[in-house]
Amino acid sequence: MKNTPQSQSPALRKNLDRLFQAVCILSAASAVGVLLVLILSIALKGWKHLGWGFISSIASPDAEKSGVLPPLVGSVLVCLICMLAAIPVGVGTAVLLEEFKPKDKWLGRLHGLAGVNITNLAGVPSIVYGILGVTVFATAFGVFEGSETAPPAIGVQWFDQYTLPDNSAVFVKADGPAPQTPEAQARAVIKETARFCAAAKAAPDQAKEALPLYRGALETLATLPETQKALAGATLPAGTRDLCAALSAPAILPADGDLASAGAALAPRIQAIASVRLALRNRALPLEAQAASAASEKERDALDSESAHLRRLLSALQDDTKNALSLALGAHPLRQTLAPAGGNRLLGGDIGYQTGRPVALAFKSGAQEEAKAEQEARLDALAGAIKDALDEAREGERHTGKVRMTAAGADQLATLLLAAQKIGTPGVQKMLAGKLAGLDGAEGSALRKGRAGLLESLRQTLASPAAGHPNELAIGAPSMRVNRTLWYHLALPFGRGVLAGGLTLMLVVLPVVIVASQEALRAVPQTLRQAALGLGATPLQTVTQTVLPAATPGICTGVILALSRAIGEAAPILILGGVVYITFLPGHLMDSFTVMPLQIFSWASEPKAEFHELAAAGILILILVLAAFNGIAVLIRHKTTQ
Amino acid sequence: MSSHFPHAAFLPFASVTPTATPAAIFVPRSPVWRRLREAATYAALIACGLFTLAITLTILFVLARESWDFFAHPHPDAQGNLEQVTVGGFFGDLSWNPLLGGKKHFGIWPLVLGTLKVTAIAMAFALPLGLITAVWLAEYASKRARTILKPILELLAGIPTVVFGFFALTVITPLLAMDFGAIHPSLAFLTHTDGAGHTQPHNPLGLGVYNALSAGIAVGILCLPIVTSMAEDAVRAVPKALREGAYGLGASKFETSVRVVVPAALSGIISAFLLAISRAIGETMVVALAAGSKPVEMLDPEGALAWRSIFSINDDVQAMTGYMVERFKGDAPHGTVEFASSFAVAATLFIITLALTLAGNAIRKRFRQVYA
Repeated sequence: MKNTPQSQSPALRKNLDRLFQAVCILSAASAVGVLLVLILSIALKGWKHLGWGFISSIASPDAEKSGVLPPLVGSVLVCLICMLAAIPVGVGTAVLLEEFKPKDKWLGRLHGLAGVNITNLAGVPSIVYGILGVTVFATAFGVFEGSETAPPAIGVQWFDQYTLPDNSAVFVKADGPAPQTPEAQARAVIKETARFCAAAKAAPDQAKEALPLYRGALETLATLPETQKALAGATLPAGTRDLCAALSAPAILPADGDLASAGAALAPRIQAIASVRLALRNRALPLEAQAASAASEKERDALDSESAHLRRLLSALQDDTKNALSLALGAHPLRQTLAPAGGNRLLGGDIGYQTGRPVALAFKSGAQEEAKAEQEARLDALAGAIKDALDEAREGERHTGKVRMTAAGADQLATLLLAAQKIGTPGVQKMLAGKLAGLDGAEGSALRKGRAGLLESLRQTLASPAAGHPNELAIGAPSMRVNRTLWYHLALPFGRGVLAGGLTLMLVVLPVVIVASQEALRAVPQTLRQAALGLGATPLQTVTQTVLPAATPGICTGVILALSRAIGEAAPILILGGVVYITFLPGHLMDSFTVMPLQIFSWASEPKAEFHELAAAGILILILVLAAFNGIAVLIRHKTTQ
Repeated sequence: MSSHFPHAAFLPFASVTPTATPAAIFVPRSPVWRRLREAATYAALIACGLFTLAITLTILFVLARESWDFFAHPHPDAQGNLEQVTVGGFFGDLSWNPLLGGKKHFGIWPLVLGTLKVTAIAMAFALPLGLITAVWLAEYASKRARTILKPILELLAGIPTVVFGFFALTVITPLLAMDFGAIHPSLAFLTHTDGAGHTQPHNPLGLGVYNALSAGIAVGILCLPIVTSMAEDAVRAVPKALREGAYGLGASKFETSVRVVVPAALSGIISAFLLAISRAIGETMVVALAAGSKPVEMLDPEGALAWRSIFSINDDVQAMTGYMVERFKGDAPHGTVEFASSFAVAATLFIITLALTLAGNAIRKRFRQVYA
């Protein structure tokens, strides 16, 4: 019993008391101080960007013109879906846990388990919910055939919002003595690309300035026959992957530039990508044939893994290209672009399949004013695109045994077909009809499924009142993507769209809603329940008509807290959809999206100070929204405790 | 079905006004209809309850399936080479190096260590500050001080974590790496002396752009409101009689708080601490932004334990969550070993946080003092 209070002098004890109070106040003040410093430092950084322009424009490499419209709208939509799902389930669970406790022993145990489970759920890191959301909502456990939606190609696209447009093609000379043979020269180029990419990783800032030059050079070099030879050589040159990645970085076309220059800027890129793809595909196909007829298991495995590697390169190129081109093409009617880009072959496969909608729209708008001969030439290209898209799907099925044509792909193809049907001459329409009929005869599930999706989207597109209206063709505005799918468009699995995002967030905030509702229900006095029961109400009537109305203010407070949690949550959305650069507003429930915290994350991870300022401005908007939420919650609490 | 109401919490709730008058509430209807409706509503409620159970089961199933897939067979890496990771390698290897070099390493410990570093720094700030603030709020603060401080803490709790990450990166790190001597000469002793005896005006701690210390402090700020509010609840739950007993025995307010009230509320306080720890371990965006992306090098080139980098707090660290973010936003294609490894990391993270939550529950249940 040393150090008992009595063993110390009264003065010492009094001083200890005072000292402790001082420590207490200091520590309480530190919380206030931290909040002040946080808000002040962020406000000072982001103040100058705040304004209507910031709210109403899209993210761009030019900090002055940059804005948060797509993420802001994305946040609002996702939170809306999240709360619509979380409130009924959360309040229902709370009512079950608080108001209906079973007397049966086993049911009682289950009931208790559900209660403990809620605290466990509240402790699960939100990033784990993100993984759950990907598996359950985005891919539905892979139950649906062809549902393996790969994560979006983020890196390249992401890069785009920080790179100012520059399409000047400049040759970059490799260091060292000039290689002798053309093939060796091409190998040197590929090697140089790999070196550049490694350097770019180490010093992203400098690389960003050199990148446009590099891309221009690569575009030219990739089309050289020497490069083709190098890629077709006995061994695949090291750095091919980097070459693909560098090539597939999207071009930014000037939004208000004329069409001819846009087409000219795009042409070498499309050509370069197509030629590299061609070389890689030529390499992969014989390997697959060999693998099919390989004698030993071991040999086949080796061939398989080699061709799988090539396929991955191809698909990386395709995925990135898809994004790059749909961005570029979405903003520009393709009138002049197609001819210089090289005609049917280039439209085939990738472009026709992946960016069907803008291409088709471009065709459609072209049809209204162009000469008939030209129109037919385009229709030939269109038919080529459709044919290649179908071939691609068929080939994909043969190769992987899985459906390559996703719902989105089918949707795009449908638009393509529809456009062709609308503008086509009778001959073309006959051909299309033949193609559709040919689908019937095609063996395998890929095409059947593709066709089902195709017909469904055709039906939807036709049902849409706006379909075919000329105003729909306003493709000029870069921030708005033409989207002819209605907002309630649904597909299973949900993919990485708004709906999946909202449902994932629902998982995150559900424990918050449940716990808050439980507390609100517990705070309802017992006498109210007894009175209701005494008047002859059934237990359910008691809950719905007496207890719930009395608990509503508390539940509202909880819901608002959950909402502020949902709007600031970044990790699960990042896992679900990645850090993507979105330039359009989500048009339907399956559409890709981004949210405020992710855009802030993206800006904050850039080393340049101007993007930090943008991040700060985004944070200010987020904090203002949160403060408003908190204010409402405080107000409700104040009203109900008076 | 019957119900009974075990909670005898008669809280003042003066403004309760049922929306309808009693006469309007209980309009007699056909009993069959009413019974059907009741059964349907009850079934819906049970479905809600089962849904929450299903979430937990699905998390377990998904993580188990993906981890099994990761360990069961070899995966190709981004270069196309097959790579087989074993459970032994995952828990036995002290090096995590999934991307670079010829030989890849998938030992989870460097990531766990990264997470622990950040968590330890965070808790060194959040636990004492939070507990003291909680005691002050519950025991000392005037009503006015409470009405000011509580909303501030709530606002702090509501601020998105990505904001704290940004704060750590752009405010805390530059602040800690400041030239203190320039503010006042007497602070010059803080300037950093490197090995060769040159003084560096900047950066007394030798902080990197990304470091564990700033990330830890930011996570600590983020956990502060959690610790405070939960610990305050625990302290408040201690009955008045205990305090009055202590005062009656001649104890001062400080002695009452520290020797009577806090020990009485210890189970609640510890479970608040555990909750904060598990929150810090699962924290993602701060770590992804401010802690860096270099796993701790636990082994030096000779293969011996590198104590310096194990304990350093001014370097890059990669936490488990940070690794997952990097994979999911990064360039590792779907189906590769790099991508699949993030699921095994997620499973590890989940198990750790689940264990902490369960321990918190158990402590609260086991050691709760019931004051009748």
